[in-house]
This record gives sequence, C-alpha cells and structure tokens, in this order.
Amino acid sequence: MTIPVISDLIDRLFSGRTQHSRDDVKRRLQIVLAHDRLDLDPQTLERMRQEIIQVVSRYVEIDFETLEFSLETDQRVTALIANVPIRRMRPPNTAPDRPIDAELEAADIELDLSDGDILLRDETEEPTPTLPRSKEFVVIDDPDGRHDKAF
Amino acid sequence: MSRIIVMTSGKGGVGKTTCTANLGMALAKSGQRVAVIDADFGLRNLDLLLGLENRIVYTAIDVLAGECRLDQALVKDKRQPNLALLPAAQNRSKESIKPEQMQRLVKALTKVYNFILIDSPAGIEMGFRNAIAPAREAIIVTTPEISAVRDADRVIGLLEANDIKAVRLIINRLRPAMVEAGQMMSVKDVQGILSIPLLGVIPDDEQVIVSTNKGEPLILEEKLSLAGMAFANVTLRLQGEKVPLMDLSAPPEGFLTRLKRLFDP
Amino acid sequence: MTAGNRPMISDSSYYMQIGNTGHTRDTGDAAADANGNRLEVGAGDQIYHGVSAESAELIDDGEPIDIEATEDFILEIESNLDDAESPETKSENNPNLQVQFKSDRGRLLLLLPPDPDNSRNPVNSEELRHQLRQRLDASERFLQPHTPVHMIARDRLLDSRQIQDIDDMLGTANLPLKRIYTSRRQTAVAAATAGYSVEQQTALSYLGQTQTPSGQVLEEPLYLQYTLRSGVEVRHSGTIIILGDTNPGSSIVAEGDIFVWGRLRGVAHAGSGGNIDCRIMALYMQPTQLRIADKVARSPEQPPAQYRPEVAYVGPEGIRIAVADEFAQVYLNAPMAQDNA
Repeated sequence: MTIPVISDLIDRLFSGRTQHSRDDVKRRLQIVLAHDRLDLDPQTLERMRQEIIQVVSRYVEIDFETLEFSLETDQRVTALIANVPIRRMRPPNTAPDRPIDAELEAADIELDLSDGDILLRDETEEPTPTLPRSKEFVVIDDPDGRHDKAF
Repeated sequence: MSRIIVMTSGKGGVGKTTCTANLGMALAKSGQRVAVIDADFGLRNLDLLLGLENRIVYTAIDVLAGECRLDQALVKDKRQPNLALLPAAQNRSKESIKPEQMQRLVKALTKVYNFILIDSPAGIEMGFRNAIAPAREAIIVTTPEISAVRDADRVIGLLEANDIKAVRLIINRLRPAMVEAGQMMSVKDVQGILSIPLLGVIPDDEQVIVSTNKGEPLILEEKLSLAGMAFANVTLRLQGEKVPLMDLSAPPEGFLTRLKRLFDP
Repeated sequence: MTAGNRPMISDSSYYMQIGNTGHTRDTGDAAADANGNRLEVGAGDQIYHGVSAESAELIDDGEPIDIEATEDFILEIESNLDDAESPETKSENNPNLQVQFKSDRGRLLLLLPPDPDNSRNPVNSEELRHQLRQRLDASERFLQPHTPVHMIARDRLLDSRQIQDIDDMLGTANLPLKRIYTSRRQTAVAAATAGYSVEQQTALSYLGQTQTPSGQVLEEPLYLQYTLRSGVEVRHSGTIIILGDTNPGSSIVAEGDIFVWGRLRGVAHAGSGGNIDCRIMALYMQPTQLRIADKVARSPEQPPAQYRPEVAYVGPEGIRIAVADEFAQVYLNAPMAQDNA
C-alpha cells in the first residue's frame, strides 16, 4: 500500500501531473494560430459574437457570466468554438436579454475617447498659470531638486 | 530533374543557415551535386558557416550585373568538390534583386546541379519573396518555442499561397530533458500544431557553436555528434529513404527514475 | 574557357624575401585571377613555402562541372543582360562612381553617382543618402563651412523632396547648396521648382568632370576618416585613404592605391581598373581578401604572431606582402626599373 503512495508523491513532487509551461505554450499557440490563420480582425470577431448571442438569446436565457467564444485549430483547420450555457428556455412573449455588458463597455470607451480631447485640453490649460512660478523657483535656487527636503 | 528547395523559417535565429550548410554539405558528401545559394543580401552568413568567407570574389549581384560569369561567382568547396556556394552581396539591400532574377540564376544552376538549396533571410518581406520564387519545395526550420512556431505557421501559409506544396519540417534545438520535464513542446506537439510532414529533429548541441566557430559544418566531423547524426538522417530522408527518428531521450534525471523504479516495479 | 584567360595563380609561391631579412609573409593561396578563372582555392590548404606541385591538382578537382553545361548556363545569363543595357550607359560605365566631394578652382563640387538604371553599380536613393552622410562625417575636417556647393547630379532623376533632403544634409555641415547641374530635364524642373539655381547640360559635359576612361588619369585621392563596417563599400576612381579600421564584410575598391591607417580586415581591391602596379598598405594587415588588378589572394589560415605595417603588391608570382619599411627600402628608394622587375 505505502509503496504506490510514495511513488505517487515523487511523481507529483518532481515530474508532476501539474500544469506545465509545455501545456501553457501549446494552448497559447493554438489560440494565436487560429487567429493568425483566419486573419479575422477583432472587431469582426466581436460583431460576430454579438450577433450570435442575439440570435441565441431570442430562444433561451443565456448565462453571460460563463459565456465563452474561442477559435481553435487542428490539422490546419480552424473552428469557432462557442460555449453558451443556457439558464432556461425563454418564456414566450418576453423580450430577449441583450449582451449588455459588452455593449455598454464599448459605449463607455467611445464616450471616454470623445471626452478625452476636451479633458486633455482643459488639463493643459488649467495648470499653466500656477506652474511657472514654482518651477522657476526650484530651477534657479536648487537645480538638484533638493529644495523640497531642505525647506 | 533538379530539386530546388528553399530553407526558411520566418523567425530569425532558429538555425536556418546552419541547417542549409549541413544539409548542403551532407548531400554533396552523398554524391549529389549541390549548389547552396545565400539569399540573404546585405546580411550574408552562409559563407561563414561553410568557412568560405575569404574565397568570395564575385557575388550573385555581379553575375546579374554581367560583371562576371556564373561559374566565376560559384565558390567551390575544396573539402567537398560537389558543393558550390553562390554568395550574396554584403553591400546591397534585399531590394536590389528581384524574384525573376533569382529564378534566372536558379534556372541556370539546374543545368549542372541536382540539388539547389536556397537559404532564405528571416522575415517575409522582399528577401523572402526572392528566396521562394524559384523554389519547388520548402524546408521549414523551427525551434520548439512559441514565437518560432507561430512564425513558421505564417510562412507555411505563405508558401502554400505561392504554390509550393512540398513543405517539410525540421525541428531544431530540441532539448529532450526539458520536453520530459514538461517545460518544452515535444516533436509531436510542434508537428501536431503545424501539421506538415516531419523531415527531422536536431537536438540542441554545443557542437553546433563549435562548428560555426571553425567554419566546418558538423557533418564533416570524423565522429559525428548527435546533431551531426541528426543532419545525416535528415539528408537521407530528403532523398527518399525511410530512416526512423533518432531516440533523443537521453537518460533523464537518472536518479529519480531509478528511485521510482525501486518503488514502483 | 577563352584564350585570354590567365593561368591560375599558383598558390604556393607567395613567399618572398625582401632584403634578406625574411620578414615577409604569405598571403595565403590565391583565389582566382579575377578576370576569368574560377575560384580554385582549397579549403584549408595550408600554404607551404617552396612547394609548387599543387596548382595543377587544384584545377583538376575544382572542375566538377562539365564544360558544355557550364557554357550553356552562362550564355543564358549573359543574353538576358544584353538587352538591359541601353546605349547611353556607355559614358557612365565606370562602376566606381559614388558620392564624392571635389574641389575645383575654388568651388566645392558634390558629384553624385549616375542614375541607378544606367549604372553597372547602381546607387539607389537610400544608398545615396548613406554615402553622402558618410562623406560628410568622414571629411568634416576638410570641408570649410559656408563654402557654396555645386551639385553635379549627372543623369540622376531627383525630385524636389530628394533635392531638399540633400540640401538639408549639406546644411548640417553648414554647406549651402548653390547650384545644381543636371542632364535630366525632370531633375532640372524639380530643382527649379524647389527654388534652386539650375543648369541643365548635355549628357556628357559636366562641369570640370569629364569622364575618365579607366586606365587614364586618376581622380584625386579620396580621404575618409571613419570605420568601414560590414556591408559598406567604398569605391573611387583614384586612390583611397582610410583613417580608421575596415571591418570584415566591408570592401574598398580603388582604381589607384589603398592606404588604411588602421586595421584592414575587409576586402581591399586596388588597381581595380587593371593597374597591376597599385598597392595596398595597412598598419595592420589582416584582410578577408586582397585584390590588385586581376589578382586575388586571401590571408593565411595561421595569422602571424605580430602585426606590423605592411604593403601588398604584385610580384612576378602574384600578390605578396612585405613589411612596410623593408618594402620601402627595396622598392621605393630604388630606381624605377626594379619596380617592375
């Protein structure tokens, strides 16, 4: 009885059945290559994802938390693998769920960007009146920047 | 009919030129007439690995410019008279030569040589396109690393798009102990991902650096190193012989296996 | 092979004593005479002094190609090249034309190489920039700031952006571009549009620059102060003086002599126009390959224990190397007759 246990221990300690970088690299490569070979840009992929979700959620309620989309490749053939966990069938006459998360995030990003221009300009304009004085002071009196510590 | 083979990898530094030098030398040793072409204009290296760097008088550019005849530019190897190198110019860029010119050079060489190996530069730009233009077969050199395999895959796709159907794989710098420990992709992993026929596996070997230092391909050693034997096998397979893959699994962590065998008979 | 070809240079006879001191060394085996014969040098043939039976054997086993087939493939290449050369290239056939500064009756001329399409040794626009940059850096000490530059563009096609670019580079050395001389209408128009003073000329008459057919009067020496790295090639229709090292992978091609005040490690070709009396001198002679006129030699496998300034020249048996001061005693201080002996 004890002998197999020790052997097992050695296995786990040294050569290990645990996750190895070899498995990591294989998994990463398979995903990367699937994308490379398909030459599909992320935007198109995302659009496809959205549309598939829309269609599916017309009929069933989807668990958005554990939803998975991935491209996999084997024998130089690439497949789209969608793992769409279903909570339950959709009761008739209810509006389908929308993949809110993704859309909202996307909208947020766009908002940020359009605001960004204005914000940036405001930021650069605002501090200018106050900055020069302190800057001049530091530079002239204490070129090494020890000013702060000294006073 | 001559076989025109481009050696390519996409990624740099995986050992294309080393493979070209050894394969060329090994084929010549086996009685084939071999011309190796350095297609890496501007960054030539094949001459160094073959130890022919100080014998170059003319380069492929001079031939194309009509400054010399093709046979004047071919550098014969004294150790192996069946082997000739057509050197690239070091002072030109890869844009200074066109795919048609490459095809013309190779076509001329096919009249005399029955194996023509083209050492492609890294990358997939002009130099690569020049190198593959005349080729009918390709050998992809890769290492069991994620970046090299990814680039190899891209290149395989490009070769297929350019109608080069016979594409075969050499896996270079394999470290069996690391594979065993699950820290490096195995031959099967890489081949499974790239899914092209395997021509051979070259183990990581310090002798490769030593041979590079000397300018003497491994295959010229009297007593072949492991990598040298691997190159010899690749050469046989390239000529259609069935040679089983070498068993590279060197006795790994001897102590542990012995310990395990002790407990688990 | 044609009758004009010279016989192989024997690889075994590069040993020669100058002035009884014995401080000469082998140049190694010869590669080929650059004019015709293929590279026959053996890998790892070590050169032994006074052995002379090897040259015949060299030619024999260096000949794996059956001659008939060889001629076939040569013909094809050449016939393809014939139609690529247009008749007007004749005047620009000197392959040694690179970017060059030259002073001419108080003016500073900037000579550009001919149009890449019409040249046997094309210099494309990127290389042109490199060369100009290098010339500016390397001869900085001699270029007086604010000297007006007259640019001889020959038949190069330049657009206004490229001209502006050249002007900017000259500007970094405080050299104003005063005038552009060109034989091409498009270049003239582009230069004029960009606001430069232009003179359009016929193809053959360049200001102070008549084409020297090779074998005649050489250009003034080209003096450069920088390190020649791998991939750099300096060509000049005269003598080249390098103040600096030349690394493996670089090459110097001069129609005259070559002086390297530094380490010569690359390829050096003196007398490229065919003048066999040209010489190559270096403080530290460790070349990849030496060529003088149509002779070729490479370094011996075993480098000498100690380097001294040396001179490479062509003796009766091919390229030889002698220690500089001894060479000077025998060759430079003696009557000319001995020079060609």
